[in-house]
Amino acid sequence: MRLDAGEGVLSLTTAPVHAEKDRLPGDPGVWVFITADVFVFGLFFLLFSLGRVAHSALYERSRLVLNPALGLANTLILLTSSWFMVLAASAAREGARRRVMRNLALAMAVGSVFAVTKIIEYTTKIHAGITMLSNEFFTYYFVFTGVHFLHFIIGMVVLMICWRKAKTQPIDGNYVVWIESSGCYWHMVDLLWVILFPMLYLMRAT
Amino acid sequence: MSALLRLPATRVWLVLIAAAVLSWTVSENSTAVKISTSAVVLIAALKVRLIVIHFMELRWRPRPWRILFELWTLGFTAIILGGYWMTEL
Repeated sequence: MRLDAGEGVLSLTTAPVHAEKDRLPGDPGVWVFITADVFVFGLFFLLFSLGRVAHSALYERSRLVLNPALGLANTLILLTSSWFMVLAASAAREGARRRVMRNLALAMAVGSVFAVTKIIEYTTKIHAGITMLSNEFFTYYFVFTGVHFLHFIIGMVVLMICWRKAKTQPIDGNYVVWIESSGCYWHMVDLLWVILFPMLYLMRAT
Repeated sequence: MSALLRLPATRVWLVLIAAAVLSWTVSENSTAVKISTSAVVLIAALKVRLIVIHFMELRWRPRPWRILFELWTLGFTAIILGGYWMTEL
């Protein structure tokens, strides 16, 4: 039997659990932003797919220039950083300030390696004479990963704000909303990369 | 450490890590290119679902949001796989 969190069942002992489960984690406004963002990336995926259909040989030649090991490393980095973020949000719900700060610090430390590998990747390409003007594949590569990188930078700043708040402010309901909203944004950065990685690096033609 | 390993989030993270390594290995080593590339895209869709359901915690949350994200996952999978198969046929 499914219970609703309506007024009629709030007196039941299970009601708070269901009330908790019936709300979005974090701020609903952040979810609207996340939804809009993932749909914009959906449009990016559509553009890339159409381009690949029209110029498959060019896309395959260009794909082979990318380093999939770096792409995989970035995937593992973001997944691990996301995991620490889940642990931080969970600790915040328990009011465990030290665990919140430790897991946020780990999320930022691991996440920052993404910036290092991405900069290595961009500089290697540019030194090899490959830019966003080289061809359509690389226009999409630089634009999509660049927009994603911008999201990553914003996410790192948000994590720093979360850490600072955890240090100076009470770990209460307001903070939980903050860290849940930040966490959902950070997971979105992760999930977009989870799609960009195979689409750009791993889709073999032969 | 064992308490950490028992957490659902840790198990999900381990599955995600294994899936990422599997995608890369399949893509690098397979000779059945079309099948392996399709598998890589499907594994990515599975990873996205795991992140949305477990990390973003939409599993038990308001149903319209869950449906919206399931449809989005289905949509991007269809776009990428559809484009791939149209090209390779």
